[in-house]
Order: sequence, then C-alpha cells, then structure tokens
Amino acid sequence: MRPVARCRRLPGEGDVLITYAIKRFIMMLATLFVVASMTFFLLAAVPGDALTERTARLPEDVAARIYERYGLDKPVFERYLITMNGILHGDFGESIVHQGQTIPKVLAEKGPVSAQLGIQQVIVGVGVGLILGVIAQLRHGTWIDYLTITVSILLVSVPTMVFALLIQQVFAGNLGLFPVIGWDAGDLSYSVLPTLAGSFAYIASYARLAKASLADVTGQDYVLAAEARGLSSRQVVVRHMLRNAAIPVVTQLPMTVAMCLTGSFFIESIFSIPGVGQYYVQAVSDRDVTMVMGFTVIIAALYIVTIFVTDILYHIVDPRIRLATGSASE
Amino acid sequence: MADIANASERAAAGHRQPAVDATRASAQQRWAAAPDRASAQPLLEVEDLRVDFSTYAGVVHAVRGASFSLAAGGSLAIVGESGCGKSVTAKAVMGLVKEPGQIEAGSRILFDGEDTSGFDAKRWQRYHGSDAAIVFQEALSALDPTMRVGKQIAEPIWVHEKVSKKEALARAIELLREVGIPEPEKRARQFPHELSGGMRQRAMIASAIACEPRLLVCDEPTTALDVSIQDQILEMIRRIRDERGTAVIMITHDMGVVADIAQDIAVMYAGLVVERGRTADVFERPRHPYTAALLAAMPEMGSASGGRLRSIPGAPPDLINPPKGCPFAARCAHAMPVCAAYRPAWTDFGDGHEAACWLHDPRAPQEAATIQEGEVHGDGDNA
Repeated sequence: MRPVARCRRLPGEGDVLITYAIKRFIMMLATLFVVASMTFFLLAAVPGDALTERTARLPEDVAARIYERYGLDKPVFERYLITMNGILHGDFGESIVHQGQTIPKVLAEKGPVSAQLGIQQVIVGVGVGLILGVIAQLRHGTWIDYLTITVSILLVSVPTMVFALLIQQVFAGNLGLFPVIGWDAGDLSYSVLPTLAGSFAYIASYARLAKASLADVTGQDYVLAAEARGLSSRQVVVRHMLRNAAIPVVTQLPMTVAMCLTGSFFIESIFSIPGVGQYYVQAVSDRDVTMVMGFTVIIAALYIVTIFVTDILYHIVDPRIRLATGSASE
Repeated sequence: MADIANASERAAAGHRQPAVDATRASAQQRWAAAPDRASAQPLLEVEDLRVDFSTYAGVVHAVRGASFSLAAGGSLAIVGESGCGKSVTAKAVMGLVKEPGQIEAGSRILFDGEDTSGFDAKRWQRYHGSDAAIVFQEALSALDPTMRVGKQIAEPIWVHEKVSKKEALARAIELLREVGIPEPEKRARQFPHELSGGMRQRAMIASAIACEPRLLVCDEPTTALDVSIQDQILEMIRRIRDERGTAVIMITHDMGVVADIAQDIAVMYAGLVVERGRTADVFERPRHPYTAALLAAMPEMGSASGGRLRSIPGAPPDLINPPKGCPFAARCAHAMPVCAAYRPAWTDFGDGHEAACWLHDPRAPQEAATIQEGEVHGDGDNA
C-alpha cells in the first residue's frame, strides 16, 4: 500500500513459510531435549528402581551383577549421558523389567492395536460430535439444541471408565451382544464397545466445539451479507458458515488424532486390550526407566510434530494467515 | 455504466470538493431541479416501523416509529447520530433483523406496494439481491474471509439468474471492472484481506448491484474509508442511481454525504424520525431543533467562528426506558413543559417537508417557532 513497502523487496509467501518451519524445527528439538531430561531426572528422583524388588532376596554379589548388567550401578549423571546419547542414536535400550523387550518391538506389537482403536474412536466421536453440534446450532433454541448440550455436558463430566464399565455391563453382560473383554485383530466385534466408550469424550467436546464455532460465525456480517444476496439459508450455511466454522475444528483435530494414537489406559485396562496405553502406565509403575524414557520421548515428539502440522494447516484453511506473516498484496 | 470508473477517477483527481465541505448552497443547487416526487409511485413505504431488541438489561426499543417513503429512482438519506436506530432501520428494510431483534406488529414496510411482512422464505430470497441489495459499512467483515472475491460477487448472479457458475464469475469480473477495480481478473481470484479498503467497498457494491436491484441500501458505506476514497465511492453510488435508476437509501451521520447524494432526507433521533423532506428544503430551513443542531455542528469552509466545531450538549436518551415525550427535549434549548410529557405531532410545511416538534403547534410561543440554524442553543452566534 505505502510506497515504502514497494521499494523494499518483501519476502515471498514460500520464503516466510520455510524460515518459519526451520525456526519451529529448532524449537521442537529443544523442547524434546527438555522433556527427555526432565523425565529422566524425575524418574531418578523417585525412590527405588526397577530392580529393587527383583534383587531384594538375592545375595549381594548377584544383585550387584544384575545392576551392572542394566547400568544402574553408575552415577545418575553418567546414566543420563548414556541415555541421552542412546536416544540421539535412536536407541532407547532394553526393558529392565521384561527381558529382551525394546521400544521398537513393543511399538510394532502394541502400536497398531492402540492406533486402530484410537482412530475408530476419533472417527465415530468426531463425526457424531460435529453432526450433533451443527444440528444443535442450526436448531438453536429448540429441544434438540438443549438435549445435545445437556448430553454433551454429561459426557464430558462423567469419566470415561464409568461409561466403559456401564456399556460393558449392559451390552456385553446383560444383552450379550459383544465380547466382554479381549482383542482380536481380525474380529471387529471386540473393538465395538471400547470404540464406543472411548468416543463419548470426543462426541461431547466436538459437539460443543462445532456448536460454539458455528454460533460465532452466525452473527458475522458476511453471513448477513450472503443472505442479502439472495442465498437460501441452506446455501448460506454450506457456502459461508461451515467453512468459517471449520477453522477452530481443523486446528483441534490433529491434537485429537495424536492423543488417540497413544492409546487410553482406562479403556485398554477395562477391556483387557493389549495396547500401548496400558503398557506405558505399567512401565511407569514398574520404574522401567528405559521404556518410560522411550515412550515419553516418542509421545512428546508426536505431540510437538502435531502442533507444527496444526500451524501449517491453519495457514492452509485460513487465507488471512497465509499472508499475515509476509507481504500484504498492495 | 461502463464509465462509473472514469467518473470515479475524475472525482479522485479532485474535480469535486471533499464530501465534508459540501455546503448547503451546493445541495440546494443540485436538487433544485429534482423531479416532483408526488407524481411518482413510491417504491418503498415504511410506516410506523418499530424494532425491539430483547437483551439481558431489558428490551431496547431501537426503532420506535420510523415512517418515510422513497420513490423509484429516488434517493433518501437517513441521518442521525450513533445508536439512533438508522442502521436497524436499514436492516429492517432489507428483512435482515435477526434475533434478539424483532420488528413489532403494526410496522409496515411496503416494497412496490407489497407488504414484506407477508414474504415467505422464497420471496425473501427473490427480494434479496434482485429487488433490494445492501452495502455494509465495513466491507472487510461483510465479505467472507475464506472465499475469493470473484466468487462472492458471482453468488447473486447464479442464484437469481440461473446461469452457470462459470458465466456468473465472468460477469463478476465485468462488474469489478465497472466499479473501477484495476486488473479485475487478478482481484477476483484474491481474498478480501488482500484488497485495500476502497477496493473492498467497491467489490461490495459490485456484489450489491450485480442483479440490478431497484433499491440499494447503503449502510454508512464510506464511514470506514479515508476521505478521498469516500468521495469516489459516493460518486459511484450517485452514478448507479442516475444511470441505472436504482433508488438509494443512504444511512449516514455525515451531513456532507447527505448534501452530496440524497434528494430526500429523514432525520432520526432516539429511534424516531423527527424531520423529513427534500434535502434542499431541510438544509435551508430545518424545522426541528435537532436537525438545526446537526447542521450547525457541520464544519463550514470560510466560517468566521474561529474554526471551533459546535456540538450538541448532553447525550441521547436510554432506549430501554425511552422518554415519554419528545426524545430531544432534554437537550433542546427550546424545550417547553409539554415536550417532556407528550410526543409531538407532525407539522406539514408543504412539499413533503414535515417535522415532529411542539414549537410548530399553534399554541406554542411565537418567537420560539422560528428555529433558525445556528440558534439552537439560543446563543445568538449565527453561522
């Protein structure tokens, strides 16, 4: 707009994004380093270790040899350096509790189970949630609206495990429609109840998010302007309201997907599903340092990458952000 | 039509005074030869329009009785300060009053003789865009930030004229050219935030006139723009009126804009129309003390009064509990006991010039009945 801006060569859209991406990548590495270090020292600060129980009744020299085998005899700082060095090379080490288990092995075995369950939960939860939220807002002030909001608040307030136990009792116990517990990769009927139980929280939060975003958009001038051009109310919703209301939803979605992949401890425990979530929590209570470090760093990395992807998505969905960091066109 | 752009350029080159400097004299000259409006069948008639908004604080009576009419091809300015109900009136005319607002029973808005309260959804869709269109004050918020400008301008075309979206887009680009946007093909592919304020307002106008509506409601279309752009936009709206015969309602608080564009004027205060008539008549002899005060508050070129702007002391009344009588009584230098107690009746001064003020009642003291502009506060300092 101003002549000053014309004289100076403004960075193009691509340059801005690349610089931004590089900066963000360095920040990501720093964040991961802090997360890994904090996890390590917190675990070291906890009294007792993975071998305390196992070596309690063993002769001193045998116990010492076991400690030596896992490197737990070394001073904390040396162990820290060894661990960090290993992580840097992608080697998290062997499980202290379960002999021969490593992070890649556990992930290959349990990861797909948790991921499949999580993705099913997200598809059902987010899908139903968005539809309910949109309907509630479009029927604003009617019984459908109030019912949706009441149910959402209920689903958000009641813990997942309560619902999990409830539907386990009703659908598996009383009605016998589905298996009570267990998992079979080839048989989807095992996944129905855990999917349902896990999707409630998503239904609730996405119904509320969709309703709120749509309500925000409803009062905007451009919606009124669209109506003033002669568009039918359906056309106004489809062409103008939904796309604008989608912005907060799209930015929330990657985080939800990241969360679902890591598995839910409660759901996996209640339905005896051999997933990552259950294993991770068990590793913490076992003080299985190598496994906890591994999972924590991987999950942290997943979240950090997700936040990064979200930012990039933001740029794609909202054209205003595309240029906000760089040149205004005039 | 194609040279709206040229006209705008001429205006930009400074052939005309800036809007704020338009004097009463120029308004008089311009509209002295205005067609006799009594002969034309009114395109729009608004009778006793009342709009209420239910809020937590109480019911806000935003519009409490607005009556005016507008001939086909004519132009009417609705003037008043912020919160007087002029924008709500514009939205009511467009049928765009939304919850929690409500047009009260007894209000009548007739478009071409047809009562809009009887419109169903289908009729409203036809009304919007092809009978009447609106230009909003803030084009940035009135354009969808996620949709390319060309697509938005094409919307009314394919909705109303059943042409393909591709053809509608081609016509949208033509419209952008007509409203004086350079490189229309490129601009059509851009998003609203990529256009300057003036261009966005031009794009809004292009979208509004796309289907040649008979009524164009402009809700303070120039308030958010800087003065030189304001002038170009006004020039364009005037040309649309003159060349397409589109009737224009101009909502504004700027008397300079009124003088520039409107043949007729309706002055609103606290939800009521207090004076209406031909712009030239009202500017020459305002009959309501509020109109006189508004005109006196207008900056004038070459005035000897040391360049200090006049203002109207006091603030408009609360519209949750509006005053029983004349709403301006509390700020009026000529207020009489009757003003606070009863709402004044209309007095007709001929040729459609009417004012709702007790001073024109035969029983009012005679010296007070002659309201001259500049005497609003009785300070005798004539402009």
